[in-house]
Amino acid sequence: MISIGMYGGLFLAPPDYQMGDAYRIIYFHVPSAYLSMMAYVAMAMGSVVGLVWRSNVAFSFANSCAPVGASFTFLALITGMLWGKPMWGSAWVWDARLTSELILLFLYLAYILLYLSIPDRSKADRSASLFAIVGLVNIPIIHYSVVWWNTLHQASTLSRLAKPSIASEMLWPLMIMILGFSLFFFGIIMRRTAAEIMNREKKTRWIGSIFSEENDNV
Amino acid sequence: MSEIFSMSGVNGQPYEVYVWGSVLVSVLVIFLNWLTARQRFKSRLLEVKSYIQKNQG
Repeated sequence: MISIGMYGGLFLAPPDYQMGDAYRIIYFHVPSAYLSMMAYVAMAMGSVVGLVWRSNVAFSFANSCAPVGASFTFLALITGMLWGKPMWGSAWVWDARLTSELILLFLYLAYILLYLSIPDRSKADRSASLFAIVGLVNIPIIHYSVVWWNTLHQASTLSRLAKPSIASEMLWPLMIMILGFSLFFFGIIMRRTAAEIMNREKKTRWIGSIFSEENDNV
Repeated sequence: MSEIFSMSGVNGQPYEVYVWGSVLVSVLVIFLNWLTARQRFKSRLLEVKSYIQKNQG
């Protein structure tokens, strides 16, 4: 799906009348920026569920979201810089959208470091989860930064309520890319969560019984 | 061949480095995410299997 979106965005979509071919960076920038925020929301939701129900699965899920979310935030920042350089004449400006996205990267890194720095797993889970929930305040700031402040960054191309401000020939590869990135993210998170659960529960009876049943069937 | 990969602005500015640079970084991030998730899953699976075998033996 990502390959189809890439092909459509790079070769089939027409060039923009103002930016020429440079606008094609949105096919990577928009899905990664979208996922950078969605991953944080998912991480915070996992943290809430983990704290309320003391669920190892929810903590594992939240824990798995952090490195993947950080990598997509990094990608959103890099592709944004690669777009900013030819369009604004500068790779970086201390604009509200860029700064809040950079803070998001720091939040992910702080979450990972906080979790790793506490040797006791249940304490690490609780502390990192609380941190993730507090950091959630940054998500609406990122999303509405282009509305609340006068920024260099353009307003949202896609909105839930308004008609997209992009031609349909340019829109379909973007939608495919967003869907492809989201499915990829979901698959990666499921794999990482399964690995994390196996690590946490390897000494428990239920996981032992699964593997003994598997051995019996072989 | 090079025409296929050419990316230019409306006034003919060369934008190949920016566009293909974005493609390269994106593919790299996607690949690394896939690789680390796969490796992590495999190593945890082996860990659990060896732990169970050790305790059964």
